[in-house]
Amino acid sequence: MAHISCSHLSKNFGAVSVVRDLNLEVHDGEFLVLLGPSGCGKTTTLNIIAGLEDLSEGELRFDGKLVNFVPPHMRNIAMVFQSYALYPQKSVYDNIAFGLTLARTPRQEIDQRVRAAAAQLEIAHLLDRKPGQLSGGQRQRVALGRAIVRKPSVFLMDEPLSNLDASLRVSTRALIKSLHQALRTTFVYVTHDQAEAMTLADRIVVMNQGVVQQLGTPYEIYHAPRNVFVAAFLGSPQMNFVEGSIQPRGAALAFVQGTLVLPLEGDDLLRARRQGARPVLLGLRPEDIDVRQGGGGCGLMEALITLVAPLGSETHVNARVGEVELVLRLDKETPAAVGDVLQFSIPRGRIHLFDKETGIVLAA
Amino acid sequence: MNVLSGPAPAQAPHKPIWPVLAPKLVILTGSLLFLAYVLGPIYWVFASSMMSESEIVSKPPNWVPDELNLQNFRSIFFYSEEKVTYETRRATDPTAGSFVPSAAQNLVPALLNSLTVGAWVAALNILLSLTAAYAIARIRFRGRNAALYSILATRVIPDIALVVPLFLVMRNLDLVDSKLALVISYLAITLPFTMYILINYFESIPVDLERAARADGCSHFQVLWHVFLPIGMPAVVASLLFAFLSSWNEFLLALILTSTINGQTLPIVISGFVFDFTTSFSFINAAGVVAIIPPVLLAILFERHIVGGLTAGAVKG
Repeated sequence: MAHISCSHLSKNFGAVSVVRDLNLEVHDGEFLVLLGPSGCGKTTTLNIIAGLEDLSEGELRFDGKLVNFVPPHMRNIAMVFQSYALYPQKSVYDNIAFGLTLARTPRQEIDQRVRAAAAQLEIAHLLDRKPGQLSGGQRQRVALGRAIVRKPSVFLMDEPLSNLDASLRVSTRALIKSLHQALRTTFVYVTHDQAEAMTLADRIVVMNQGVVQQLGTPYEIYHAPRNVFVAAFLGSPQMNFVEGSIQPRGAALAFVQGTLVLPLEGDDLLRARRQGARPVLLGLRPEDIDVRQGGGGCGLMEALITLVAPLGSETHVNARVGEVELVLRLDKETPAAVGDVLQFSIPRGRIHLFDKETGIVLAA
Repeated sequence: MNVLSGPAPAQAPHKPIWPVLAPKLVILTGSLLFLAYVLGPIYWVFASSMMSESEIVSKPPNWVPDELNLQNFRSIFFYSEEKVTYETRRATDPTAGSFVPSAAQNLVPALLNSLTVGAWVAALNILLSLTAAYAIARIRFRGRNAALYSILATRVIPDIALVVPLFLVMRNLDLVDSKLALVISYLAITLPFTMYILINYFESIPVDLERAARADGCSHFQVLWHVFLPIGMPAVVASLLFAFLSSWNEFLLALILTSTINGQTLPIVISGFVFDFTTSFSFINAAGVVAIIPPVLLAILFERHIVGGLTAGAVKG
């Protein structure tokens, strides 16, 4: 296990700044996920931690020891790649044993560890094959075996599931999670897939354009996004965003956009007061819109269904409230058809208010 | 039971066969002609090396030797002092005899010289070009592009322009008429090419493989040895063959830089037979056969390594 500390870490490729002033602590045995869109700097950050990229500025420490100039083979890391990166000329056995052979581990111990890892990953029957004779899922298991057999201090995984089909992705994801639970080693995992991030991570780092947008537990990231980017990046279907303004409604305030009027209460009211007259962006997750209960919260509203997308386990519908188009999530029993009028309410505390100019969530 | 009912299907109209057959015949004829063009001279060298002089010069040509005469090969490998002199040459029917040139005794030493020079050039090429190509293909360092382009720029200069400067350098180093002079010169000529072959191949190897090896605990040298060398074997073998064959066939520099059998290679010695007063076509062709065999054997030996697709399964295709 290792504690990783990134302090003011930056990486530039010529004039292009790929990672900017990254400050991050990865705790012993933690499963940390770097999440973000393509080109956000997450893989570069992982490569810097691995020692495969030099950093331009800042300090990187493993267990307090500065490793800025320590080459990868002296960092006691293991890495799994999106492309598997298996040695094509070696058998599965030799692929898994390669790191141990380099470390001059006794042959008997190598054999024992390779076979144990292969059994754990259910690839024991493939040990004599070459990578070219394996399926994608089998290859990724070999890549995982190559990593775990070395008992490294840190596992680094660069989108290891991205090349697998949907069903294999789910099973391999479960395998990785159980590996972490069994090994309790520090994992740093890069992905652009929010489902992977949410299901695997102890904590998630959301990155965009080389900058950390938010660091927190999956619950925090999902339920208390710090800005519009994080709010939009997590959640499927995406959070609804409605531009509007805060206007007085009697003694209180309300969010107003055309015919959509949401009276504000509690913390939302406090936040709205601080914002004053500046324009705001209302964020509303589809599953937070209550279509079954008419009462409570912000009162009952009506919406005209314009699109129905049944998924089997649930149904997504697009519905219009005045000029505003919302996406709602219905359970599979709720009937919905284009042209139907839907009644919905928004329970208290389920809305997110962002400053329209800065995109940052309104502070309480 | 016949389950079909109704009228019997109409018989298909007879299709002319020529439109289908003609293109195939054209391709076959073209291929055979090309094969004859390529293999004809080689066959003639082999066949005539075992013919008598009269058979070689006969009209119409005698394509198949009347009898297999291995006298020339015996003369090359078991040279005796019974060489032909001007007097014996005059006393013999020139179309009947197989004359052994006076310099025939130099063939085996020249063969060994060629093998020695070729082996050194090939070995040094691999050693130097592998490390240099890996560094240029995979390590980002200041001056990388300048190094690459300056190496390639040396090949823009024709060999003939280098002959005199090289001779002067070798003379000053007291290396004229030595195999070392040839090894150094051939290395300078072949190294940019072999580096270029390997750089291109190494750049095509997925970067994740190198990264995986480094994460597995490899230093740069170990990445080269354990990953790039096995995967790059087709390019390595191609470079090795190129370096060996280039030095095996090279004539101009060997002619200028060597003067005795101490350093002379096969092309120089064989070319000398043409000027011998006992020019024997069959003997020259036998020497040609001897010159052909080592590179052919080398190519056969390494042929199985010159195959593509060695990265199959390495990364997601």
